[in-house]
Amino acid sequence: MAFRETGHSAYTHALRESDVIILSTFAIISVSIMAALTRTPLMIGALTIGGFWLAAIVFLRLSRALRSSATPVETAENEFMSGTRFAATFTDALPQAVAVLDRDGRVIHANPMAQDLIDIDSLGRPLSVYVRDSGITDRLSTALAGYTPDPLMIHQEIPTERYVSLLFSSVTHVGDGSGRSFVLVVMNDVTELILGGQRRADFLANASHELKTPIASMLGYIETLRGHAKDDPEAQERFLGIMAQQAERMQRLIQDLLSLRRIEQDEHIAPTETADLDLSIRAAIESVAPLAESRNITLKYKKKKKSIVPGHQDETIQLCLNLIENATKLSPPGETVYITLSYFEQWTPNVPFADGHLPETATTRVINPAPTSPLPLYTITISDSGPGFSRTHLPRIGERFYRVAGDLSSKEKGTGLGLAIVKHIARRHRAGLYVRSKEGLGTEFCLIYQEKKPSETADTPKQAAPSEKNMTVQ
Amino acid sequence: MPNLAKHIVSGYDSDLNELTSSLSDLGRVAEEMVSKAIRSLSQRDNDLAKLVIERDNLANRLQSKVDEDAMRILALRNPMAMDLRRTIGAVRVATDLERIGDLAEGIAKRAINLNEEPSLNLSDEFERMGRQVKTLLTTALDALVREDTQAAIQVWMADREIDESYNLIVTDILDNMANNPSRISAATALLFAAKNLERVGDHTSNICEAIYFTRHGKQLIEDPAIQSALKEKK
Repeated sequence: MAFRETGHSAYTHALRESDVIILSTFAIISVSIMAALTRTPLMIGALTIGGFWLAAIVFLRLSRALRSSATPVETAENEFMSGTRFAATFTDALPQAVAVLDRDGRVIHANPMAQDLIDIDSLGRPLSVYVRDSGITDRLSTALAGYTPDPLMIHQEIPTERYVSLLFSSVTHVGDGSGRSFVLVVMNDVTELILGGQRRADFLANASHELKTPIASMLGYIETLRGHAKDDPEAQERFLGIMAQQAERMQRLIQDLLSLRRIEQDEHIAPTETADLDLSIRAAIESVAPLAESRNITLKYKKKKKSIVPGHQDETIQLCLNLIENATKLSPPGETVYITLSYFEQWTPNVPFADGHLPETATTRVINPAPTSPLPLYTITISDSGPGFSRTHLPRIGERFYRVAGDLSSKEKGTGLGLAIVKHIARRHRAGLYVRSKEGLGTEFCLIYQEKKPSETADTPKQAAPSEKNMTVQ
Repeated sequence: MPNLAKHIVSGYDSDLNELTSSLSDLGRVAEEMVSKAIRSLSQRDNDLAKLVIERDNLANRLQSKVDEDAMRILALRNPMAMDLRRTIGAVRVATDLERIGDLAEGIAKRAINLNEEPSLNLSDEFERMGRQVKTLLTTALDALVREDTQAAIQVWMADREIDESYNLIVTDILDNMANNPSRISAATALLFAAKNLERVGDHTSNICEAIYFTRHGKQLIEDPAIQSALKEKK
């Protein structure tokens, strides 16, 4: 057949049902003619096979001649093959996500950008496998009928909120005379366009709401300093101290809000760079060490292997820092915070908290689900022996400005944004985030990172990792 | 990237593809119904609730389409092994998805009742649980079309969390009933809505079981990873 060998990813052309029927009819007719003509049994077998092949060759010749009207067979085939291949390389080079569908809506080609955008891992499946929307069938038939359908807006909420706009248009292949139609799908990520305004409004609302209270209290102190406490140096000193604290809190709040906004903005774009988890944990431990020392808390870090994952180095440091800092703040003096970095060949339901220190009866909650591709995984488990969260609070962890009632963290200068930042960084890095807690015993967080895909490790920055296996900061 | 068109008779492939897309359409409709039903309750939006109730017809139609497609494949193509399981699995999943649509419709009806009265101040909890359920449903549907059994196992394991949230919300509602006996009818409506949400979670785990069976020809509960996880829990 003229189309059988068009390369592995172009598209396949199987025998059609009608072809099979014609072929078998030919075979039966020729067999019966042969059988009627020859009486000797020995000849029957040989002539049957010969007849079948004759019929098949005649049929193939005929079908080729029909398909490639006037042009010689060989040239048409070459032209067609080079044409498809050229089209494939052409779309691959485009700085735009493009996929090609056949008449039935199956994806027969997708350029790398499209593969990344809607996560296409195998060709030959319908487009609706990768993006679920009831409008696809509709748009597809409109495009095949020769009209230009309206762009289709797809809204995804998992793993991160995202909007993708799809444009359909049909292309007819005229080169080989078969008149096959294809549908070209051009995809655009329009998340920033749609969510940008909403996020800016949220940011303003959050910032003004959270800054209102400390500013009001500062104004109160200023009033007092101007009035009653005008000639009381002792009170002045005390009030200025409180005002400085409030101002520092506002500064931290603004910093946290800004970093949250920055992370959220890029959340729908998976990171292309790599990060070393071991390095991030060490950096985080170093920054927390003074606090741990002042609270007499031991940080115990155990690692198993070098760990290069897709992610942003500074962001992984911030993520580890927030978690370790929280654990340090919440543990009672004299206790130990355990930080463990482990490696697993593959995901199993036992991976989260495999290195945990809490009993199995602790309540677990998935904040972000873990990636389930067959790649190896790294997990970071951070265990504290603080008061733990009750079952009622667990579902709300990671929400903005959510602080457990009684507010342990306000005493420890929290902004209520630390875990929200952790959640959003983990989401952007496509990492899993689990929490489990037992009241009175402590809380554990588990981060699950996928190893960097092997084909892309070539450009990994080599970091000279310190050689000792365990590092203890007192 | 493996190429999936593989049967000698291309009509068979397009039949199976048709089945997948019908199922995917049904999944999309069910997903939309659930998310709109949750929003209609938490944002007190009657129009959205009516939209969900209207949508139920479409869900039913799509389910019968999946049934017909599957029946045609069974009658004409005589599927074997994976194809047979895929066809049977599609019928099972379609039943679950249609039930999910019905449950969403139930939530929307309760929402209309609830919106006639002043708010109960429990919609935050409901919305949180709704988000949890919706995340699981979306992940399960992605796993379904991609035949990703690992994701299916994750979703199946996470159903416990939904039950946990449901128990918490029930405690809250009961507290509310005890404190405001005058609002007991509204609280009951919310209780039913939460129960429906919890049932959506159960049907989602059924879908995960069907995904696993389609891929491996074994029951999900027999998976060694699940077995060891369950043993550890005991």
